[in-house]
Amino acid sequence: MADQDRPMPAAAPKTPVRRTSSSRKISRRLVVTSSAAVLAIYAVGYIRTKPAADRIAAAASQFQSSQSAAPSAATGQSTSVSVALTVPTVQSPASTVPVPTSPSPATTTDDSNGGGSTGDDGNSIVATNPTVASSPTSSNAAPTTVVTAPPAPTATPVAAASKYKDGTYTGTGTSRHGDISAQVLVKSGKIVSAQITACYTRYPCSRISDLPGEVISQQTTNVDMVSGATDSSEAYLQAVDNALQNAT
Amino acid sequence: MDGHTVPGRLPRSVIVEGPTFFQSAILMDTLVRIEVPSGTMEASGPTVARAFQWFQEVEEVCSRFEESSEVMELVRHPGVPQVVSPLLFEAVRFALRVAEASGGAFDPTVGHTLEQRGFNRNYRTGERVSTEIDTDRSVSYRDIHLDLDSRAITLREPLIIDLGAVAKGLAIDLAARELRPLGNFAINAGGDIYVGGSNLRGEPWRVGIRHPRRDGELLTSVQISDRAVCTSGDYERAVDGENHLVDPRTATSASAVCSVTVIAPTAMAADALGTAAFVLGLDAGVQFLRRQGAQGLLVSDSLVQRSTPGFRRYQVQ
Repeated sequence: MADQDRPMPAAAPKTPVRRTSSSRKISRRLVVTSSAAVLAIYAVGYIRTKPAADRIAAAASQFQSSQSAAPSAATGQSTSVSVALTVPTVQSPASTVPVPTSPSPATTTDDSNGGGSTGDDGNSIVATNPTVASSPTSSNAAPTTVVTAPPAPTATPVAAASKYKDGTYTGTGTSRHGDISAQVLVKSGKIVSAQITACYTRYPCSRISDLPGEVISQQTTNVDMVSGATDSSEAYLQAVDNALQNAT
Repeated sequence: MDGHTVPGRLPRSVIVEGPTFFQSAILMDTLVRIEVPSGTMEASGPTVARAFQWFQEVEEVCSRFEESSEVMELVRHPGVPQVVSPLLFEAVRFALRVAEASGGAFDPTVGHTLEQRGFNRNYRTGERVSTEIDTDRSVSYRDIHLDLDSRAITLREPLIIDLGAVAKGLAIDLAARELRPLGNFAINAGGDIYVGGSNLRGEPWRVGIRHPRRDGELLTSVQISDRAVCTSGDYERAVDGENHLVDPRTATSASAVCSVTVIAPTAMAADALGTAAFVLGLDAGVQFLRRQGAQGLLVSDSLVQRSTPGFRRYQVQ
């Protein structure tokens, strides 16, 4: 990694990059200028992001009220689903190799880890961490490394209603178009609500707005996907499945 | 997490530490992931939602692939001054300053060349975009005129503005500004990264830079806080052996450098300066970054590395 201390060779053939001292001053400020530009836009546009925050805040406060009912446990379903949202106040240790893609980049060379979940060699790759390891009781599948297969798609049939414990549960499902979070409310062993609480898919979640009703009427996630929105459907149903894992 | 990604596309730099609360979404044609160590839905969720919203705001204004975007509206009316939103104005203004400072190595008017080379697919719809403009004309950033007082932009020639190297960084920076009250957070938009505060262990974040030629290997890692790190490489989105970093001066893909990593206080600066450095080449690129006050690491086709002196301070051995 040789440092560059020599004078700069001629850069651009026609328009030299070497600047006069005055324009050099201007360009030196470029990095600073970028910060100023960001602040200027932010100041003007701050109001525009408020509705997004309000929606989430409403959803969050909603299940705060029913919080006591829910058991803890962040359960990464073993596949690439990560349950990022569980019960409020309980840390939700999403099991993760935060690398959003290839199984490998994290597992390499000088970072001597054996694939994600070890990550104990001091300060390098971390998949799990102390908080995760000692995290709340009922986590069934201990935080898993996330690099396995694509989300198991077709919803595992969830049988009769009575097997659910009452409470409010949340889960997240993943698709290649983004994540969807759902909050499931169980009363008297039945799913009475299964609403979408966060929709980060590239398509509007209105496309699958019928699905929560389907889940309630069928009492299962084994419902038909919305045609033309199968990925979003899967993500939603995964989210509900994940939520219901805490209810069994 | 693999479910998110389009096959064949790998991130260029990756955060190699574990989060607690995170959300991800596909925005601006890339997987955007926001992590908040020790975060919870109720404490962090609304702020994270606002941060995501910025990506949408920027995309609606700056996308070359959406006919309805403000920048494409601008492109349809060359020759007349048009008052634009602060967001678009600042983005174009910054792009022009980088163009000036790099002697045209970075040039936001490269848009039509990109379109012609096949980098014209809308990632949402899959449709190809094609804009009718006078193709014989050779245009440059000098054909864009800004009026600071009225916030008007005039295109002196028919041209397409490509804010690709600026817009994603800008969105990251706006999101970072939104997340700042949370203290500790990380934003990863397809390998363009901003990290705030510290990770779960209370240490600076550690970011791995992907090796440009060896799949799954890291070139190096850096430890940073309240900084952006962006890597430009020739290994993504190649079309017929060419990459999407086009040298505006010759209208061909820049070839001498295969990877540029820049660390800067903003992602907008890191991304744009890195794009310019890529085009300038190994030695001139490093010098350029240095003059701009940014830190960087460049790798040539033959895997020769050059870095600014300050870059090593961030490297993890």
